[in-house]
Amino acid sequence: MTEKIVSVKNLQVSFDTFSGKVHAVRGVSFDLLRGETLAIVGESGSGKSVTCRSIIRLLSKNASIDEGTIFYEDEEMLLKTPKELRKIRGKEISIIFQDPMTSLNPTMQIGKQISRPMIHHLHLSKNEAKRRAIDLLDLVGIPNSEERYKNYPHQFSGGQRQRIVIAIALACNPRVLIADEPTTALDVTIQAQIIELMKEIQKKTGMSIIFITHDLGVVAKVADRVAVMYGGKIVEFGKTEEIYYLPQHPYTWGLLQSIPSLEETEEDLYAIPGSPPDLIHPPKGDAFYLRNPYALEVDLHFEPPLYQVSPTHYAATWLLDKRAPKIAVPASIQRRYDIYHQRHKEGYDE
Amino acid sequence: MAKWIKFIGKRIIYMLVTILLISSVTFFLMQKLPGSPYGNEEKITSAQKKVMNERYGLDKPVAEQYLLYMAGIARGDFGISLQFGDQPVGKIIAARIGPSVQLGIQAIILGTVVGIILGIISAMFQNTWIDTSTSLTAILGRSVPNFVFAVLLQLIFAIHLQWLPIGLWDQGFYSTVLPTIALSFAPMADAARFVRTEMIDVLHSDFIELARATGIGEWEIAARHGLRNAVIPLITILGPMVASLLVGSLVIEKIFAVPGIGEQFIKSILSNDYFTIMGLTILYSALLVAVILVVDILYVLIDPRIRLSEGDEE
Amino acid sequence: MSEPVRPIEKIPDHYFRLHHSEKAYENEAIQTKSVNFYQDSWRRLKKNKGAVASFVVLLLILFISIVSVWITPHDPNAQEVRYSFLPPKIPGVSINGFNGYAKQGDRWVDVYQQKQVPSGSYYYLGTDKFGRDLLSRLLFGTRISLLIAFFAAFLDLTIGVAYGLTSGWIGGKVDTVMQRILEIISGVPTLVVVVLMLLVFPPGIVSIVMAMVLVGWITMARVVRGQTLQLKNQEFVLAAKVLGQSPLKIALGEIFPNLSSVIIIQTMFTIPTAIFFEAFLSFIGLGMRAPSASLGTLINDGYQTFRFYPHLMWYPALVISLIMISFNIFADGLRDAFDPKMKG
Repeated sequence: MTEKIVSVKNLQVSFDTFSGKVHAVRGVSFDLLRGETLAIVGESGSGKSVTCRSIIRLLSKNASIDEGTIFYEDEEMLLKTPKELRKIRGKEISIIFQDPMTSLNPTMQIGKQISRPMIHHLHLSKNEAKRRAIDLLDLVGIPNSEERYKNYPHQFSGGQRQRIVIAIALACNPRVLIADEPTTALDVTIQAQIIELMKEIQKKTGMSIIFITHDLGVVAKVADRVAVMYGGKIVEFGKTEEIYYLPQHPYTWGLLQSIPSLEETEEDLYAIPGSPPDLIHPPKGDAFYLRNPYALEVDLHFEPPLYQVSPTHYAATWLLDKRAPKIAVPASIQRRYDIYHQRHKEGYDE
Repeated sequence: MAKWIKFIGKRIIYMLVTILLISSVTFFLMQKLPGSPYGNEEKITSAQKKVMNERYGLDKPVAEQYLLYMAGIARGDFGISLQFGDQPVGKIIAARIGPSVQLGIQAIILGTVVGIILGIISAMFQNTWIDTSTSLTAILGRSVPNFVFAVLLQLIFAIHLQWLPIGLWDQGFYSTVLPTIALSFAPMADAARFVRTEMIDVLHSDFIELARATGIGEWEIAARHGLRNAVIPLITILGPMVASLLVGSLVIEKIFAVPGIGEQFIKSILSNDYFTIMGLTILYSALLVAVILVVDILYVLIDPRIRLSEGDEE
Repeated sequence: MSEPVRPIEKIPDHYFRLHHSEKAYENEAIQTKSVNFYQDSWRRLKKNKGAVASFVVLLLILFISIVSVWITPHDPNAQEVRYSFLPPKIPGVSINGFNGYAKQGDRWVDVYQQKQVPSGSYYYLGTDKFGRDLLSRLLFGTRISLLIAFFAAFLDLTIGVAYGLTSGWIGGKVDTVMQRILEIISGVPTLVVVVLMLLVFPPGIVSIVMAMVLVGWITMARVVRGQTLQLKNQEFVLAAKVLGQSPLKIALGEIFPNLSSVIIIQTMFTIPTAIFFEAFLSFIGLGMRAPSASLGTLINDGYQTFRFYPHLMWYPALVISLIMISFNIFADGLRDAFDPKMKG
């Protein structure tokens, strides 16, 4: 079960804008394994969405993929014609977006929106597609599916709409689901329900999920592995536990410190200072340099390579170089380290 | 249901107020008209004068005349034409409204259909030469006055090529072709521009992106998702479109010698045909107000999004 | 998985020391040059070739129509019936149709010679039925048309902005009443109002302008009101309120400047509409009266003799189309520049 289903290598994507060429993704590599959930975490503008949309080449017209390879199974996605792409989109790889309020066509019955991809890809008749669409509505937890098939999007709540969007994505039993911040626009309780639903469906179908979010708090509940992106690059990736309890990159620290939690009432909620890097003129050194309280002089001049922390865990920070000074990690991060070491001493291993 | 009645009721009240206002203003303005029945005695036969005095009390004070006139309108009596003996204005209008309505409907259908197609093509190929040339066509449609365009059509298709009659409304459908095209130019340009903007908006929306992500082709997306969402709002500019069509119909009817109400309006204006001008003024206003009413109702009926805010389902 | 790209051993050791200062954020702030809304719009507008070209054409037309107050080839109103219907004659040009020759039957004939026009006198675009120089009349007519359009647009702007701003800014009952009034007026066809006004008032520039303004300001009022409602709830306006500024001061000081882009765009659309309407009125015989000329009356005059002397109609038609096209393209460009959302 540990075979790759999607493999991205050295992906570079840029956008032509009025102000100049924006280098949104600057050499990203990762693999998605069969049946796993990979979370990609980062703030807006970190390139996480662009990376994932590149997989099915769903980018705006002013975007260009400058370098890299993207394999789905044995197929190179970047060499596909639009027609070939359409055969994969929705059938093999599906995507769901952040805002359920705008993801559905307001003037079309939701049932039709669910059955359309099935008619298109699986060549089902209208009636078969309708029957399956009703089953799908049941699956995603829309009550009275038969009657609601004919309803329009505005007759559903936000959470229900996201369920419908998921139903559309699942219509053709895709092998990969890209969830682009699927819970960001929802209430916390609804968020939990949607995540629960996705996990349930994954268990039934065995599909792989790429879960994009800016909220590390959500990730713990869904992901097997986590990749943290900053300034168009992956700065740290590893198993979820490693990212949570043994984070190495100062940016990951910042993200973890900004998760509100009950245990940390004594500390103020942390916000990473400064603003995202200018990707029109990407810095020569580490993109996080300016915002990094632990920045080294070398960060200004050279980009840090990925250092291996464990066979499954890598981080791109000069702090991992043997010449780097020993620094005192923030207290809350140190506490996480302690939990990790304690667990592993007691044999909590996985 | 109650909301519906309230909604339509309110609209109808506006409509009546507007028409009342226009007829009143028209009436009092006509009193000031140099060359109104009072200042133009020699044009009126004594028989006409007698009839008018009997029916409209033209020798009575203005206030009383006003009431008489309004009462007449309520009965559907718009007075008599001063230009054509003592023919009732209602009868003149009835005899001439046919060609105008036909011309108007043909033009608006042709204009919106072509406009929608141009707008959609333009949006789908946004910022390419196709977009540039369709947008340019639309700008020409908006910019070149329709009487210039009409004369150009006459010159090319009637005089040089002799494919179609130069005017007059006497050869059935053939003689309607050129005036229809000339009149459809403005609504075509309006529709094309409007649909292009809407379509670009729609094509950038999340649900189109989602449809793309399900592997549906661009043309199907445009037809199935884009078209409806881009074209429904077109209904909202139908009112202004009809208003500009009324303006256009005057010159087009003049140029192509169409025996319609527009041509009549010009003639009446130039000959100070007091009651006919008033009758046509009220007719035009009523027409426009009625179109606005129908548009409002249609929009609520067609767009499921609005049903929620207006209606009380769910 | 990834070995460092460059030999990291070569990086000097002293680079590995903490190098963070709080000032870093400030440096960053300076690095990104801030561009304000108008500069940004201006930059977008400059990239739109069509809009720039239209703007140049408009400036040129404007310039010519102003200069022609003093410099015209002939007196636009001087009648010389002997020299009526002369074809265009341009010095140094020998193409038939532009050299004083016109087709009579199957032959090209020198009409200037025929009508005994003294040699050395040229009518670049020919003459009309009273022997008036078309070019001079065209320059004169363009000026009148533009004057009417600018005048009307200015009044539309003044009334529309005042009404819209008042309605949107005060809100509540005042807004409701003002909106009802607007709704009723907007049911009145422009055509009807303009025609009635022109029947009643003496013909001339002022009547035409007044007639057009009577209903023309409504669109502007709508647009301004909509924008005002949007601005009203934004932070900077709330802030001004909290600071205790008077409502009138906020409306003029905070809201009005932010309306300028919609006002400019709307005005740019009003001007061609006014030019068209003037031409339309003249064409149906309700516009400027002789001997005054506007583009509309020139087209109408040309239309009377269109079958025999088509150039008398085409030249004014060409000028009006050029003005209208330029205004429309420029207005479209302005709108796209101010509202980047429109250009994906």
